[in-house]
Amino acid sequence: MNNTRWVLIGLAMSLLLTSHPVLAHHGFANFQMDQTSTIKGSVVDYELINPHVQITLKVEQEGGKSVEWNVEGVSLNMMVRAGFKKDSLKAGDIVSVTGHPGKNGKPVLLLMKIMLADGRVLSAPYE
Amino acid sequence: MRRRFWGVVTTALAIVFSPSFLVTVAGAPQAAKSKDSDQQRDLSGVWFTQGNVRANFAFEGGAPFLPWGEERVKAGPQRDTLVVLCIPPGVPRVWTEPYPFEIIMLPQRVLIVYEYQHLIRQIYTDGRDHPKDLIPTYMGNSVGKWEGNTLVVDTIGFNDKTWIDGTKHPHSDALHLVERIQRVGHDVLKVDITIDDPKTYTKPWTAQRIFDLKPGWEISEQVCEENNTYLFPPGDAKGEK
Repeated sequence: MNNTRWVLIGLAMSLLLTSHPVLAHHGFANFQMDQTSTIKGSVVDYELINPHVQITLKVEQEGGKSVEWNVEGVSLNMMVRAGFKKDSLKAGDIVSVTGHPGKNGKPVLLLMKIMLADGRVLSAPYE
Repeated sequence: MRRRFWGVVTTALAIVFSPSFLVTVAGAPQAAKSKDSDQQRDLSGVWFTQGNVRANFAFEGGAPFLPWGEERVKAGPQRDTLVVLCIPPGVPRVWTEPYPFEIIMLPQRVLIVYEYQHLIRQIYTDGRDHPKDLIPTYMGNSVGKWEGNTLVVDTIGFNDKTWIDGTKHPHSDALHLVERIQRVGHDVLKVDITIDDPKTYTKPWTAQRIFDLKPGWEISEQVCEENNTYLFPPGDAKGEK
């Protein structure tokens, strides 16, 4: 019984760790704060969550390939104060994001500002 | 006529030796109290960092470390120092967190409610001193008194598990903080911090933070544990704070 329980706990942990690989409390150390990049793509996913708001964008590349970018905001409360709402983005919206690229070379961006599908621009609450 | 003379003399003596007259002449605290109105001593409101968020209490010349302090920096964060595990950041690091806080004025206490981790500091302003034999805590024990319109907060009773700021300036359980909190304008709050830790630093050093009033903001729910992968071992927290 005990073994079964530990196996289940282990499986649950594995699922949690793999389903949200980027979620953890951290500062800006993982980003190149002196660099900015702008990407444009369609929204795959938008999560207004703690500890950091997450946006997944599908960005088309030359040659027809596409890459999924992870755009990260700051904490839920501060993003809400900056004007982000539950329905600010929905899957399929074409948006443009400017932010600080990651240091690890992966397609990640720390959000500075985003132009929503309706043309409104929302900015990060702080840097 | 003679009676009137002695009446004037008696009245004059009564005024000269009255407590209020003596206090006014001596410039004693009561005089300051009448000058600093309740409005000037009202720190209440929701406040947020002015300008960019900075994790470091930067100061010229670097921290005046004793050898223990340098060794502590080299040792790096230990598991029980990690705010990524939702362990309290301690004071004064809590002032560097990118979340607002609310100051609530009570007759005998000032409460600081930090949105970050929903930490609450109780600063007793009823004249009491720190309790004897304090059990060390992350946020310490605070008492306050007014100097003019500045709330002077004295805090001791810390454990040694937190950092002074987000850039790993260490401290020991001998940390003694003095925070001078002043509303320098209706919309601006200044916090001057003196960090005195004779076990870690050769001399006291200071830091300052400025905060803006945020009318209309409310302290919201903040659940540190939510979606926090570091809660699940063996989360590699090396290099984190």
